[in-house]
Parts: sequence; structure tokens; C-alpha cells
Amino acid sequence: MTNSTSDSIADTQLTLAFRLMEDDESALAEILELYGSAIIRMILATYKTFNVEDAEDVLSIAIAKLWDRRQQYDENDGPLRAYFYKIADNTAKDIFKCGWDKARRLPVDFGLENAIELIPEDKPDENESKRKRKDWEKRRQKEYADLMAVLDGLPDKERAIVISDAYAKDRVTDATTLSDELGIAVGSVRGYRSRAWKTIRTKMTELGHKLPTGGETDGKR
Amino acid sequence: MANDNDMKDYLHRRIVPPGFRPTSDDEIERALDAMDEGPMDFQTVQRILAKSKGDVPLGYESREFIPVPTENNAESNDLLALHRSEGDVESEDVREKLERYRQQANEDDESDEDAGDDDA
Repeated sequence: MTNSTSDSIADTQLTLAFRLMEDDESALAEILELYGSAIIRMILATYKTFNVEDAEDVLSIAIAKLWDRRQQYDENDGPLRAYFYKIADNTAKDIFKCGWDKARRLPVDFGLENAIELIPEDKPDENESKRKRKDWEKRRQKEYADLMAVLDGLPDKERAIVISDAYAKDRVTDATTLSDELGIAVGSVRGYRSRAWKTIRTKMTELGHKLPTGGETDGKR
Repeated sequence: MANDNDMKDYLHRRIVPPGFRPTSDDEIERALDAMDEGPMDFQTVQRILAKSKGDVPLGYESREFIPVPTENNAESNDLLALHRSEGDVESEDVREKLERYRQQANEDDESDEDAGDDDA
């Protein structure tokens, strides 16, 4: 991308942000037209259990939240497109955590609550030799494939809980939300999660992978 | 609790692909550039805006609960009718039947919880 192109994109984002702050509602259609498709594709690629309609609904909640928060936006929140993406991504995480209805009603709480999650990426040491880094990548790919196979082998409800937790804000879905979606008693959610974790730990260890050791509650909240 | 968080982080990192966990605005911008295949079409924009204003229901609002058909549906409907009109029920037989259904429902709930808590 040339400097002049990126300058023009930045100018467009700034202009749209100003129009929002001046209560120009027509800016919303332009924001969706310019940034909507890429954000929907990103949401679909991240949250594999969403379909296209779900992703559009996430965007419709996010654009309403963007409008509600238009007066608070400032450049420290990042470029408008990234800001809109963060609202959409956090909406998706909230949906997995507490369900559509509650997520829709949650205010945008920028700051720590709505910031992107900074879980450090585990990467091979850059000082290692090329061969060692390649081996690391190979091991990681095998671990990923093994985990997907283990997840596939879990009973449906256990798998649904593990995947929903992985997508949810704070990496845990409310028991009530899971109870509603899976048709199980609220009190049994912990047991399903605990059993799923136990199976994952056992099978992944058998396959030669090292997982975090069992916690005090071993999968229960 | 720390170990619970370690396991949650582990599963998050393995289930959500690495390229889709941007940790800065720059990474978000780069990821969105890579995903960008042109503007959203007019109809989709209008549909999303209509949903955002509440003029059109979101998917979850229009999903209807469809009961799983069972042989006992007719009996379940009777139970529901009895349950709703409990105050007016005078027959001892009907009251007994209602009580029996309640006990059965409680037992089902308990066995469901047991199934989930086996490994607790």
C-alpha cells in the first residue's frame, strides 16, 4: 500500500468519525459499506460456530453500539475501522459469554473491559536455529490437529461447552447461557466441563503433548 | 484458580486461530486489509441498519422453540393444562396425576445433574 493510499484511508476514517460525532446518522451506512465485509469475514474466520446471519447480527449490534458511543470516540481508541472491529469482536465474545439478548443490552465499556485481550502468543525463540523453529512449527501443527481430533471425539454437549468457553469473553460461558442452549440443568454444566477437560488432558498427554496441569477446581468455576 | 486460567488460555489459543487474535490496532488493520474484498452491497447494509434499529428482528429473536416430538406429547399437553388450572382442580385423581408428573420431572432433573457431575 502506498503512502498516499494509506493517507487517504486515514482521512476517510477521520472524516467518518467527525461525521459520527456531529450526529450524522448517514455515516453509519458508509461505515458498513466500507468496513462491514472485512469485519464479517474476520468474525466468521474467528468464531467458527457462527454462520453469515450470525455475523451480520453481530455487526448490527456493533453498529448500534458505535452510534451510542459516538461522542466518546477519540483518536486514542485507534482508527475508526479498528475501533468498530473491537466493538464487534467484543460483542461476539459477549454473545458466547452471556447469550445474544444480554450481549445486545451491554453498554460499550471501553477501557480494560472492552480492550483487545492480550494473551501472549507462544512463539519459538527467534534466536533458535531455523531448523529448530521449523521443528517447533511442526510440533505445534501436530498438537493443533490432535486437539481438533480429541474435540471431535467428545460428546456433543462437552465439545460445545469447550468451544463456547474458548470464544467467550474471559474464556468462560455463563452456566445459564449453556443450560438454555444445550438443554441441560444449570448445575450440571460444571460437571460436563470438568469431564471434557479431563478427557482432553488424558488424551493429549497420551499423544505426547504437555498441557497445563489440573487446577484446584479442574474445570469447574 | 490459576491453573484453571492456564487451561482456559491454552484452549483459547489452540481453538481460535493465531491470525485471528490481533493484539494491537496495527495488527487489526493488517488483518482487516487482508480480509477486505471490496464494499458491502447496498441490501446487506440496509438489512444490518434495519436490524440495528430494531425494525427487523435479529436471528435469535426469530428462532422459535420447537419441542422435540415424543410419544408422550399428548400426555405432556395434558400435564401442562392440569398444571395451569391447578387452582381449579377438584378431582383427587387429577391431583395425584399432577403430583406424579412433578415427581417424575424432579427425578429427571436430578439424573441430568448426576450425569453432568459424574467426574466432579
